Amino acid sequence: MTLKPPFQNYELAGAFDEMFDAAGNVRPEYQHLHELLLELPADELRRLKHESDSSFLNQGITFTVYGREEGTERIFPHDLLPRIVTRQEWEHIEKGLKQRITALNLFLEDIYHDGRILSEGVVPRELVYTCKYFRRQMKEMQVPRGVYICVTGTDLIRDVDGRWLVLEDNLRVPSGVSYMLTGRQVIKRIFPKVFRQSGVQPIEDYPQELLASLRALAPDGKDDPTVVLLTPGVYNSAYFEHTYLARQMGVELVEGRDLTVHDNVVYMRTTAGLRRVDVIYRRVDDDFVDPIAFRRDSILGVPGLFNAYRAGNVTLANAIGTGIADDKALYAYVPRIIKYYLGEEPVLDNVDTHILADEPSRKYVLENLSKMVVKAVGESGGYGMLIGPHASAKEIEEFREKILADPRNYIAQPTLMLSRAPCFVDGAFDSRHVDLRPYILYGEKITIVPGGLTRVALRKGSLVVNSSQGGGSKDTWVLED
Amino acid sequence: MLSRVADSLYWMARYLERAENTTRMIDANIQTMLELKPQAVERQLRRINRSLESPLDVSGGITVPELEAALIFDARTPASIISCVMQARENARQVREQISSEMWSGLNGLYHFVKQYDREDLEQELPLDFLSEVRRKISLFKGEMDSTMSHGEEWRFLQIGRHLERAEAMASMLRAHCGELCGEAEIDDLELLALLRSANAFEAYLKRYTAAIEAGKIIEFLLLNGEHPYSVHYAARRLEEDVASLPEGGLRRKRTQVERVVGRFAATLAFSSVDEILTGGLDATLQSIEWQCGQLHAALHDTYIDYPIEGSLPA
Repeated sequence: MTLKPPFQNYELAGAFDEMFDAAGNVRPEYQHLHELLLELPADELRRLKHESDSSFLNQGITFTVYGREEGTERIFPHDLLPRIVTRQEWEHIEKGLKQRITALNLFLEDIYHDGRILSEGVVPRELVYTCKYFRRQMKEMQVPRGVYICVTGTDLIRDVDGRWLVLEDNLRVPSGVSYMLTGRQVIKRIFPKVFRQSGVQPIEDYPQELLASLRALAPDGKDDPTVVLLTPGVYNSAYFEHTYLARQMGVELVEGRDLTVHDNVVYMRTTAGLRRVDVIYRRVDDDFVDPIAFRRDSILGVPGLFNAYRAGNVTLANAIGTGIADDKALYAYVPRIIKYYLGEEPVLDNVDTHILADEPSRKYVLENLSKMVVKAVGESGGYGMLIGPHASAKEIEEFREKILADPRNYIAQPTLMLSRAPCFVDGAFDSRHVDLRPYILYGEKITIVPGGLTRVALRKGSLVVNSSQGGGSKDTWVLED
Repeated sequence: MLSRVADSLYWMARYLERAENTTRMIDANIQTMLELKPQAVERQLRRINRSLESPLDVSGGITVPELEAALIFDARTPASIISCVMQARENARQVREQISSEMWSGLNGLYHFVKQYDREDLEQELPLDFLSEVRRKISLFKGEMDSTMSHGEEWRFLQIGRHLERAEAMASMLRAHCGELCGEAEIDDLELLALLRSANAFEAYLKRYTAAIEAGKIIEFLLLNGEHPYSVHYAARRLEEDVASLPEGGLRRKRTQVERVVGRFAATLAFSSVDEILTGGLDATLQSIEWQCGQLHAALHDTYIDYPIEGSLPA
């Protein structure tokens, strides 16, 4: 069907649309925005788009593109139109994320201690022990408040029926929150009236919430802990975010070379002498934290940091070894993990994932291989993967053999479809695929600022929302009611 | 403030001062050299090279365009404008959050301006417009530095880098002219004027001493004048002032060391006369200034940047 101008070229079929229902009627939450878009002349929109772009550039909201001379900086493409989520939807998401993070955190505590879930065979032992993100160094270590994952960025998508699904948990060092915060500042200036009319919940307190969570995880007995943000340095693609968050929280932005460990205590080197550090919000991967405990060739890390951590003299957030719980293979087990620890059904479902070690799933998948995406659990970056709809009969047969030879090594998912939201591209309105990454903080309790980073695949038809591959972002409005 | 940040600020300011110094040096000399006899040009080129601590091998002789090329856009030459600007920018990049956005964009603009200048431009005409634009951009940057950031500890480290580099550069430039100033080597008035211009001091000198250009007065002005920003004495006084406002540092007793070095440096210049200097040997005085600058750098480094852990742990 074709919508009325200015939406005459707007693609509606084939996916859930965030603004229009299937009959082309505007969803109530988009009503104010829709009215405005009908009124605004195209020139005015182009002017606003230009204003928004230059605002991002002037604020230096950039990310670094690797592989160019001196690391070229680019602005992160930001679409003009906000993505709107109702209060009811948000409450559902919030409940689901709290449940999921609670369970995953309990899972981490369990596998680094007694491993009950492994003994009882709910999660296969070898799946955990062979995962490259499992850190045996963390065995039997007590982390403050038992919190392993202080900051999570969970990627959510909506299927063709508009149902929210979890695509991925990012439990190591998720990034992008600075785009959420700066994007809001810009959009508020561009659409002040609609923003007020719509009644949007604020997200500006994220840095305070983050700092509060980090402080809550300080080693015992530290009333006024010194918190720092550890960055790999200026050449890291998320360096802008590191400086932004450090400034917003009012904490020092340190590199590995600023820190030194003496008698299992971490200090930073200042012009007024050494200063003790209690909590490190580290934006450095496990591997590079400490060359003595992990990768020897790392020059980003701090020798002795892990021992200081184990001794309980400093907190690392997130904890070391959280990557095991966002591993691709383990993802399929998350619904069972939730049920095991909390005795509840998951509020937010996974994308249907078949564990091929299970007899009935295997039978179903083998019969429908041409419709499925099959992934080898130990691989990443698209290796060892079968995309059924695009594969030849020969490739499918080869894969069938592989699955039968080692079913434990594979999972299968149906081909995915992401929902679409309205975007202003090339001077006109059209729809593009989006996902949503809310940021979940875990300190004294779990808090989630209402919203997140909506990532958008700016190329028509594309499902890839990554910034390095033509993805951009959108402001996300969670309404008051 | 983090020690690493202090270090980057200090070096950023030093490199920028060095870039300015090289720029002025070329600028002040190329016009003069048009009017000089060939042997005088040769002498002048060697002196420029020595003033910049001899980055070039001139034993086989060097031409004016060769020297200009090496000192403007050859990134392999340590004192060249491009390499100093690149180093300054690299240090600024490390501490981008500590300097104002005006400073960052000014420095970035300077870098891109210098980078696009090449051999072809140099073959077209004398680099006069280019050099004065570089000077203008550096002056603008220094203006932004003084007016867009708080004059706290960060700013003090920038000032220290700037004045320490200036004191050393002036001493080094005078050393390159030592024989000439002491009457042991040939020099004509035009070359002395170029020396004053290289120190940004030509007009100020005329105001103070009239157009009577004399070696002794030049030495007095560039070493002992307390009011001209490019004299060594002025730089030493500024250093003393900036050091006084720094925090205690990693080791308390080291702090005393910094104060002693800078105090003696400023006091020696304050209580010297040009006659004594000439009697005692100009070169020895200049050598001692360079040595004291080195001492101050080392003391600052040991106190604020790379102090040992032992003895500096908080109580």
